[in-house]
Amino acid sequence: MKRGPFFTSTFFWALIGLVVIAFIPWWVINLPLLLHHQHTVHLLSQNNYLLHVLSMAAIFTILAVGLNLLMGYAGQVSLGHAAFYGLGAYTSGILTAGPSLTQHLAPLLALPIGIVLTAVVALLIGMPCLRLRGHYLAMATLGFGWIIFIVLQQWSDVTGGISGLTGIPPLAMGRFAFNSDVKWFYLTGGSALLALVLCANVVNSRVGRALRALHGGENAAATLGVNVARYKVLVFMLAAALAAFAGSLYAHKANFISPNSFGFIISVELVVMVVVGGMASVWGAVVGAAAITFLFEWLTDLGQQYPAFQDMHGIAYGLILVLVMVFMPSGLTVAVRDLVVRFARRRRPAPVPHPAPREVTRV
Amino acid sequence: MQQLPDILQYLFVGLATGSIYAIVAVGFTIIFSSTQVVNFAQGEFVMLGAMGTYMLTTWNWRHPEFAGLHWPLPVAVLLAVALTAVVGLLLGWVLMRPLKNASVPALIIITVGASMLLQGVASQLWGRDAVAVEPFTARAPFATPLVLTLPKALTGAEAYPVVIEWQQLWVMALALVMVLGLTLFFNRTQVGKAMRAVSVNREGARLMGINVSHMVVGAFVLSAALGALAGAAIAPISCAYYNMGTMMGLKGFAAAIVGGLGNFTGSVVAGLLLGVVESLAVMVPGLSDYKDAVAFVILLAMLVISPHGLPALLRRGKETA
Amino acid sequence: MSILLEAGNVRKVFGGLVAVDGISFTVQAEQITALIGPNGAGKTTMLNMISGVFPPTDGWIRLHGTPIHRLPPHRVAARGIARTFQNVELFANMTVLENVMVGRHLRSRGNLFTAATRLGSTTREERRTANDALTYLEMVGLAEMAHEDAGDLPFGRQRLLEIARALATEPSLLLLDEAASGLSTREKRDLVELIFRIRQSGVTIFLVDHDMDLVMDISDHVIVLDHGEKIAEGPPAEVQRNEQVIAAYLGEEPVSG
Repeated sequence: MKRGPFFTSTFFWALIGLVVIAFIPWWVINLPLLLHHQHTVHLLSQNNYLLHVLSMAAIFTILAVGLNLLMGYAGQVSLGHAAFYGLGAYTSGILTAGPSLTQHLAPLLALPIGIVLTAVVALLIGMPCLRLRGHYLAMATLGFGWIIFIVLQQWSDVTGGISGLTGIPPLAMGRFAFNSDVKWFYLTGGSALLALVLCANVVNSRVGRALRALHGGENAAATLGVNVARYKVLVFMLAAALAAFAGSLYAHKANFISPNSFGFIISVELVVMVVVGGMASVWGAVVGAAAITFLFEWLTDLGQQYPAFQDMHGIAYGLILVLVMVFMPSGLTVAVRDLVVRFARRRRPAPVPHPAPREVTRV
Repeated sequence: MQQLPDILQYLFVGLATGSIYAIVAVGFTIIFSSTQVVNFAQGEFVMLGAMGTYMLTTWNWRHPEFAGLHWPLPVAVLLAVALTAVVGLLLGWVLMRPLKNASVPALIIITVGASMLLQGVASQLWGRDAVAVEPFTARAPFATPLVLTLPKALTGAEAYPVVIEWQQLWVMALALVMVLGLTLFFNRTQVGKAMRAVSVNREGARLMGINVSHMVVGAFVLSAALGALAGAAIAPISCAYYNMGTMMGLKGFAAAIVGGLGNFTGSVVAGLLLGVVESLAVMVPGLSDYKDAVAFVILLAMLVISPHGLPALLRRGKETA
Repeated sequence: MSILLEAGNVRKVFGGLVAVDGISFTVQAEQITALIGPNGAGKTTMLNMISGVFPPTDGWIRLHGTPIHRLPPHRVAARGIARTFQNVELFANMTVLENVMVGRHLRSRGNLFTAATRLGSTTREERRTANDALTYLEMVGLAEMAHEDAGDLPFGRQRLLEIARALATEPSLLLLDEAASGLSTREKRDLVELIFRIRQSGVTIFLVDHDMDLVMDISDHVIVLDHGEKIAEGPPAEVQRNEQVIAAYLGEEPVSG
C-alpha cells in the first residue's frame, strides 16, 4: 500500500469520476444543439445513442472490474463469466416478466434477489471447482458457462428460449422510472463508479493482499495463514455478484434479453476487456471495458456499412488476445504506464537503471 | 427388445461422433504432454479440415468467380490437412516465447484468442452457413447406406431396420487407423520416441540432444493434422460450419479429461464412451433438448470428482478396496 | 526447558516410495534444532508434514502437546509455525513491504465487507500493518528496499525477505528450509547472526540444511536422517563423531546437481 500524494488516492479519482459522470450527458445532449444555436432541452428525458453506448460501457465496467479481481488479482481464470451476467439478467427478467409466473415482482426487488441467487450459485460451483488449478479451472468455468447457456436456450417455458424474454419493466422507484438514455447513463455510470471504488478498496486491504498472495504463490500464502480455498470462493462470489448486478441493470435497461447476449463470445469479450485493461489494475478495467465496448460498436457499424466486414468481432478479439498476451501480458494500461515512467526517468539523470516490473510468472 | 434397433442406431451414431471426440482428445493429449498447455484451438483444427475440404472441392466459397472448380476429394482432403498443419505450425511457433515464462492463465488466453481468430477468419472466408461436404465414398456400391434388419426373435414385434451410413464406418475406420498409426509412431520411430521423451522430462530430453522447440512445434503440427483429418471425415455427416470447432473442441476436451489428460489410451476410450453416452441420452425422455449439455455435465462432474480422469478414479477405488 | 514440537513415529509413503519411515524426535523451546542428512533422506518431506502441506501416512506431530499433523497449512500457521522455502517463494507480484504485510495476515483484522466499504478502523489497521511490517524489515536489514518489487531483489536479499515475512506471523516455531544455500560466505555470516537474534527474541528455530559447518556451528541439537530413517540425534559434537552418520555422508555415491 503506497501512501502517495492525494492525487493518486481512490477518493480523489472517485471525485473526478463523479464530476465527469455528472456533466457528460449535458455536453453530449446539448453541445450539438448549442452549436446549431438551438435551445438546450430538458435533460432527463433525452435518448441519445452515445449515451446508450456509454451506459453499456459502464455496465461492462462493472463486469470487468469483478472479473479483474478474480483473474488479475487472485489469478483464477474464468472463461464462463457471462453465465453469471446471464443469471442476473434472467433472474430479474423472469421475476418481473417471466411467462411462467402469474405474479410478478417489482424490479427493485428482483435486482437484489438476482444478486443473492447468483452469489449462491457461485458458491456452489466455486467450492468444488476452485480446488482445481490452471487449465482445469478454466475448463470447469467454460463448461459451466455452456451449461447455463444451453439451459437458457432450451428451458423455453421459463426463460422464453431462443427468442428471448420481452416486456421487462424498467427499474423504477415509485413514480420515477429509469426509461431514458440520460437516466440510464447516470444510473449505470454511478453504479460503475461505486463498483470501482469498492474493488479498489478491497485491493488495498488485508483481503486484497491475501488475494494477490494467492496469485503470487498459493503454497506460501497458505503457510502465512491465508485460507486459500475460502478466499478463492469469496472473490469468485464477489465477481459473480457484480456480474449479476450488471445483468439486472442490463435487463431493465434493454427491456428484452436473449441467450445470445450471454454466450461464450461474451465471456471471451469480458476476458479481452480484463486483458487489455491490465490484469493488475482496477482502473484498467474501465479502460478495457470502454475500449472494447466502443470497439464492438465500431465493428458492428463497420459491418453494416461494408457487408464484407460483417463478422470482424471474432477476428478482432482473437488478434487482441494473442498480441496482448504475447507482447504485453500485463495489459495495455500497465504497458502504457511503464512507457510513461521510462520516458519520465530518461528526462532526469537516473541513479540506477530500473528494470520494468515483471509480469506475474506464478500460477 | 423393441428398442434394440433404436439403441443400435444411436450406438452407431455415437461411435462415429465418439471417434471424432477421441481423435480430438488425442490431439489435446499430444500437445498437453509436450507443453503442459491446453490448446483451446484444437476444435478449430477440426473445423479447418472440414471447411478446407469443402473449399477445395467446391471452390465456391464467398467468391463466385471461383465456382465450378472442383478438385477430387482425396486431393482436397490431403491439401486441407496440409494447410491445417501449417496453421498448427504457426500456432506452435507463436507460443514458443510465452511458453518459457508466461503463466498458465496467459497461455490459456493465447490459445483462446487463437481459436477466436481462426473462427473469425473462417466466418469471413466461408460465411456463417453450414455447407455440405462430400462423403469419402459416394458412388455405387456405396451410394445407399447399409441397412440391417434385425431378426424378429431379437426385437419382438416388427421393428425398423438399422441404417448405417458408410461415412460412419469410414470415420470409425479412420480413427482406428490413426490410433494404430500413432501407437506405431510413438513407439517405433525416432521422432515419436523423442516426442515422448519431451513429454516425460523436458530438461532430460534437451540434455540428450533432442531439440525441444522442434518437438513442441511438431506436436502442434501433428495434432492439427489429426484434427483436420477428423474434420474432413465427420463433415459429410454433421455438415461443416464456421463454429463447429467450439463444440468439437469442448467435447474432445471433456473426453481428454475423463480419460486423464496426457493419457493416450484413456483419451481414445473416453472419446468413444462420451460419444455413445451423448447419443444414447437422446433416448431419455426430456433429455434430448439438452443433449449438448451432457458432455459439459460429465466434464464438470469429472473435474470435481477426479480431475485426473477415470483412470485415477479407478486406481483410487482399487487402493481403498 | 520445555518441549515445543514432538514427532512420533512419523511415516510417509508416496505411491510405492517410503519417504519417511517411523521417525520420532523432539524440539526444545528456544533452541536451534537442525535436521540434516544426505539427499533424499526425507528432510523436506518432514518439513512439509510439520507445516501441514500434506499429512503423514502414519504417526503424529504435536505442538505444545496438541496434534497438528492433520491440519491444513493455514491452520498450522495460526498455531504459530512459520516457514521459508527451499526455492524462495516470494510474491513476485508485490513489493517487499507488501510481502511482509501478507505475513501480518494472521495478526490483523478485516474481511471483505469492511475492506470494500472502508468501514470501521480499516485505515488505521492498514497503517498499523504497514508499520509492523516495516519493523520486521528493519530486523533483517531490508527497510530501505520496502517499496521495491520483491522479484527485483538479489537472491540473498530474497532469502532475508522470506525470513522477515515468516517472522511477521509472530511464530513460536520458525522452520528454515535450506536458508543458507546459494548464499555467499558473508551472507551466510549475516544469516547466522540473524538466526541468533531470532532465537534471542524467543522464537524456536528448526532448520534443514546441507552446510555442515553452519549447522554444527549454530545448532544446539541435531537430528540426522538417512533414507527416511533417523540414525542419530543429539548435540552437534556427539553427532559428528557418530559412525553411522559418517558412513551415511562419506559412503554415498556422488550425486549430480
